[in-house]
Amino acid sequence: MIRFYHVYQSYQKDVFALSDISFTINPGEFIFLTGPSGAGKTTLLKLIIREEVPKKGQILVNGQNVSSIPVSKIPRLRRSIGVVFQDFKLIRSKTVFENVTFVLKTLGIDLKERRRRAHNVLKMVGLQHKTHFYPLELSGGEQQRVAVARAIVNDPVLLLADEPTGNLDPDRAADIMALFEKINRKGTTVLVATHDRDMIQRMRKRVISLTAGRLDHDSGSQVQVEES
Amino acid sequence: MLQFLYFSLSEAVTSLWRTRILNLLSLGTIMFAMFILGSFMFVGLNLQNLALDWQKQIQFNIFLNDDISEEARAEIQAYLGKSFFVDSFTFLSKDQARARFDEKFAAYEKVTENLEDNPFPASFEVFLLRGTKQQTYTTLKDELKSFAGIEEVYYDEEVFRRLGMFAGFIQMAGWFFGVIVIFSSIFTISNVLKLTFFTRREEVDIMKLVGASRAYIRGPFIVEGVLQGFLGAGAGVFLVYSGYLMVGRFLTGNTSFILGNLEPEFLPMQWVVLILLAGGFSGLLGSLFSLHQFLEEHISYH
Ligand SMILES: Nc1ncnc2c1ncn2[C@@H]1O[C@H](COP(=O)(O)OP(=O)(O)O)[C@@H](O)[C@H]1O
Ligand SMILES: [Mg+2]
Repeated sequence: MIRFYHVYQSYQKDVFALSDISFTINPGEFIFLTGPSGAGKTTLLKLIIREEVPKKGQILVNGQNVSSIPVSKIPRLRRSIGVVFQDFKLIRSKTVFENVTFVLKTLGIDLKERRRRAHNVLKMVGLQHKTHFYPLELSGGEQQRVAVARAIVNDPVLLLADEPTGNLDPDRAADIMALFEKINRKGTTVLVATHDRDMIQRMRKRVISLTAGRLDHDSGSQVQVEES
Repeated sequence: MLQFLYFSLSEAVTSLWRTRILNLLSLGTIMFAMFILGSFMFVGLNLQNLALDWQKQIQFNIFLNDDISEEARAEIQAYLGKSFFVDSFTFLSKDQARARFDEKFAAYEKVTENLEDNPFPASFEVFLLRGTKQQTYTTLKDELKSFAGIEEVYYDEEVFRRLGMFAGFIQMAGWFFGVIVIFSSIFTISNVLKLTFFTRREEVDIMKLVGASRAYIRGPFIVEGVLQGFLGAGAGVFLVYSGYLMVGRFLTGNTSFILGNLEPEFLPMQWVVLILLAGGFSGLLGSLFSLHQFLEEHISYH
């Protein structure tokens, strides 16, 4: 599903946010990406959705080389990936419903169907009663859950979540992780970046850990599927 | 395609409404622009109508010498009576001419009172058949020269010629200002949209990140520009129409006014459509310009 091959990324000359990263994630896996803040977790996720282009190395996502795909193919790539951004990235001038269903609207899905799907995912994150609120009328934790709802509304093949429980109390956090597991069981590959050690220990999943831009530990794949 | 248009339209309408203060600015500019353009067209059209109306029926005066004999006058009268092109004519004696002057220009009564002799010549007022060409008039005028007792054959062709030219000029000026004004609308729309982009660049970035394709990001902006142009032009045409109604009321309320018998004509439908299209088109150009400058330079996938 995802393969990094000697990937380097830097923002300033000779200061590498990521250096020599190689790993393979098989379809259907559930992985934690961990490491102290500043380790390069967000940067790694940005490379996967081609928000950034690596300085060196190759990245394959769902069979496509994202470091060299044409710009015109980027939207389709991103639509196949659900992302919970660390800073949520909700559109302030749109309601929760509009935020969650924006991409569905561009795909020509009619209002009735959009309502149905939005209702489903908002219920999963416990926000069905805030459908017509604007992001700024919600708490940080609620905004984060809207971001989760938006990430899963289009049944992505890959779900990326950047500190998705950072603003949630432990019970809510556990709910969201349970939701991710459920989605994972339905076949979606899930990659969660977090520095929450307790959660990682509780969940017993594959862990890839970064330190200062280097991959220092990979607990190894538990799902054995060959990627063609 | 239909779905794309629907998407763009609904997003554009929401956006127009959300930034309505800013949009009123460009709407106002376009309205003003199209009002200017429309007014010039309207005035030009009606002046031309007026000129045509006057040209249609040539009217001229034959001023007679004071010492003209009764026979000579009868000869002229007979000539006019049997001339094919003369629609009607009336004879105005010296006294009638003076009376008419007094009536028309009451303020000058004192002046004429103090005159010992009546300075107004007797005349024939001749109307040619509608549609008679100017050439025919010229021949007629030449023939009249052979009659005795005629002081002058007077046809104010210069006035009509000038009026026609003036109408043409007004219309030309209309097009000239129209072009300037359309360029300024394009400029305004493009700048207002650039501001709109600027306030929404974060939003646009998010749309890109969640996988909205280029067309779906650009579509609403383009439709927004076109709508602005179209609505602005509509408002401009509406202003011209209000002006037309006011002029109409003024003219019918003042029958003594020289233009009293003139019914103003509103711009024909094709012209209205043309103005609306010009508005929409300048909106399109405006949004394409700003899209090109802004979306491509400031928000890209890299
Ligand atoms: N846009 C950027 N410009 C410059 N430096 C950046 C940028 N984004 C991240 N970095 C740097 O790259 C490193 C990794 O950051 P990040 O991937 O956000 O870490 P994490 O998500 O693990 O906390 C940090 O040292 C950060 O300062
Ligand atoms: Mg981060």
